[in-house]
Amino acid sequence: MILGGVVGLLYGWVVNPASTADTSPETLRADYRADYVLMVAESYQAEKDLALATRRLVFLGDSPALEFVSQALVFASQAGYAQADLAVLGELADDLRNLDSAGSEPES
Amino acid sequence: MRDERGSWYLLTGFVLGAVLGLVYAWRISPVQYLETSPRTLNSEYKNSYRAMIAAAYLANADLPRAQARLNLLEDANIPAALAEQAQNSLAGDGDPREAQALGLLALAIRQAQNTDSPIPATTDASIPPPTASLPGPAPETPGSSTDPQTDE
Repeated sequence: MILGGVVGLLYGWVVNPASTADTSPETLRADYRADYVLMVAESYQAEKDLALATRRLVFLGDSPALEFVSQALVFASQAGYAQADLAVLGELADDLRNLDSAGSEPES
Repeated sequence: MRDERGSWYLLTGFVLGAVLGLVYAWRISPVQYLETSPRTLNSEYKNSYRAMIAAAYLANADLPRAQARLNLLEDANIPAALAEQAQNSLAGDGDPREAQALGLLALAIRQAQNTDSPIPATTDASIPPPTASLPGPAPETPGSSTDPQTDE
């Protein structure tokens, strides 16, 4: 029975693990997460809707929106993103920071 | 007689153990995936990701970038996937702006295809994802990825 259990575990974890096609955004690799934040920032630059941008960032998980943008900025700087992209990310980060310091959350 | 019964017990035990092992590995404690790519997202999240790509395209009108991002989702037919989502969004109580963005992006990709643009409209590995074309792409740390498909 123990041998069967070991074989079953090996098969279920290594040979044929549970489907990969149902992951959540929390598990995305850092570069994909940074690119998602960049998309939000690009849209924000045109729309100037901070509440909408914050809602879109919830896609990435439960952490505060500013944290996602800060992480993306750090990644983008290290990965050598174009200055224009860094500026767009920086603008969103600044506006979220200003909102935090004003002590209010955007209406969602 | 006793020896025969003993081998059957062993076989039954093995099968029972294997079944229990599979239940544990698939249901109770399945593999946790980390460092995944957008193509592995479930369909609902893929829709959100696709809508975000379209919204960004509406803002920056950068078709190659939108195309590279859409390639990450590995849709068989990118314009069709965009158009279908736009229709579903309109048919349901989705955001009309989202439907508009999706529709416009689908149209732009179709036009690029029809004008024989160098921008391919289907999944093409020659177009790198946005970060891959940058000077310092994300380092892949060996062993940090538990997504089996990343090793393919």
